[in-house]
Amino acid sequence: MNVAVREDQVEGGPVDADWISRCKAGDKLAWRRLYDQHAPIVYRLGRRMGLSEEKTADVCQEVFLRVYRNLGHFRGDSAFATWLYRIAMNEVSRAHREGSIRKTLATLLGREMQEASSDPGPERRAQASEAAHVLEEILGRMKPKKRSVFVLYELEELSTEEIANVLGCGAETVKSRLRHARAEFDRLHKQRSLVVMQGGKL
Amino acid sequence: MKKNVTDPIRLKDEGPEAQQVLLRAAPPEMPLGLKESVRARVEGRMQGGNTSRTFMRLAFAASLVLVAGGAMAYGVAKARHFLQEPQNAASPLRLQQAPRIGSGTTQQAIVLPHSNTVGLQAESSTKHARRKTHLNAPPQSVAMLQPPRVATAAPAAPSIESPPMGLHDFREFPEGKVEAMVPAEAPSSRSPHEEPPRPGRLLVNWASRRGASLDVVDMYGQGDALARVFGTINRTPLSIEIRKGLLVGKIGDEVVNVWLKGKEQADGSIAGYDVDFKLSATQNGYLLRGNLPGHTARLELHKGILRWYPGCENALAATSPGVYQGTCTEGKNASVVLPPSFRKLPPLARLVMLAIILTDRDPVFRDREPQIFNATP
Repeated sequence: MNVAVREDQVEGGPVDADWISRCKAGDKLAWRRLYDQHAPIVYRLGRRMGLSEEKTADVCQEVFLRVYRNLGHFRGDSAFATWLYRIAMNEVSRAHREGSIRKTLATLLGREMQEASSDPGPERRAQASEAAHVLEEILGRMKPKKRSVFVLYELEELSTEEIANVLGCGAETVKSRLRHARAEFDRLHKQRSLVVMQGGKL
Repeated sequence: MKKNVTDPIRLKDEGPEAQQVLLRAAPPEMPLGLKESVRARVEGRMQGGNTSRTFMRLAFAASLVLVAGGAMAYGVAKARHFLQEPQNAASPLRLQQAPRIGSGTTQQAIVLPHSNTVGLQAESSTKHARRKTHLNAPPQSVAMLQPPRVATAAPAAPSIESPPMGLHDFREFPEGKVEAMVPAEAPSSRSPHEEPPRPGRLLVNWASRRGASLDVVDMYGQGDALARVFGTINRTPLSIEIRKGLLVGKIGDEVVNVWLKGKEQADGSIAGYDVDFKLSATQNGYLLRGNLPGHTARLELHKGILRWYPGCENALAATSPGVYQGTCTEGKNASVVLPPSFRKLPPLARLVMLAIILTDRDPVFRDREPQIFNATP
């Protein structure tokens, strides 16, 4: 499977099989290039999946460690980016699970948890466009499964087949989830517009 | 990107204009400093060989076991504290079999000859002063016991005001716990330095239908947030934040999004199902009508009366501020305690929350989807 657009978008052109084999051979320069090209993708995915900056940095770290350790097992049946997306999505899910476990523990122990918010903070928010802020808010209200398909298809621009490969499910399942995700996105968007029109604040 | 001819057209290209604008918004960019620091951390961990990794894993596993053990011990102690409450009223035999004499968790009347109890009462009275007062329903088969051995209400410390109820009131509730009669935030003699104040507790005890123990944290003055309600209903975890204009949170794994539009109307979704509510002011209170997943709901909160449909068409009477109790239509006893932090919420938010928490389809429909909470408490 080919993810040409994603790889072309990163600096320095696509990471081809030659670079991968150089990484496997322990070429530090090749490894750095691989990291430089793909770290922004992982970061962007983490943020769009609702992780805070701090957690996204942790996810990036884990993803590239896993890439480093498992690069020997990468056979090249799929594009490197697809493989990377798969690892990244698994790590993002793990981070979400970890967060909910902490929250449950905090609830059980009757403590208020100081949660690292996915809110980028006032400075970054001022820099980000209003549209990006609204998008983040709506995505934050979507269910995780729908959100992941929506993000991968509409924002990361993967094909349904690639998403199926990343999420480990059938292409038809992806399409079905996408349909539901779009409906939910549309509904949340309309609800938000309505509340904003009535002067409410979300 | 691989262009698959069967793929649907992307919203970014041909969706509604407003959505196109959103989806074309600039993606989050990785700050350069972060990129470098993450790379340094990754490379640092890459240097660490298998030995150090194995050691780190072992250390992590050991610390996890320690933390889990500690948490479990703490959790068990805490769970025991809560679980003892419903057991109190269950059986007179239990009171006899397990008298936790002199232990720190003693919260119930202990069946002992009168002469023995005098000293114990004095000893435990200081401990009671640090806790809420728990009064027990008199056992049904009380006649089987000798008069001096009948369990009576736990001795209350002088500093705690007993709830304004007579013993005859408890006899009407032989099945469930009568925790409802105790205001969740009873005045306490403890000094403010000893322990931070606990959040108000919203309790629902509805025999064989619903059991809820929810913490209500007052969040007034923290932005738009008004309160946070969390806990379990019929073993289903619930966590909902009440904001100005919005109820947002989760029931189990399902998302709750309810927009409060003005003072009378609310709509949104729960577990993917559309819900809506309308509040009307009546002469003595409020009436809420609405649709919840699987049923329509009506809830009345008048002065001194609480009733909801489906579930409890008979009115529960207020016995003290925020405490309602009585017998529901099918003959089951029910009690609801609303802490002050919940009672100060705006009426619409308060009644919508109560409708979500209280209304329950008839048990004959229990197998029918959708089901927000577990069927039995």
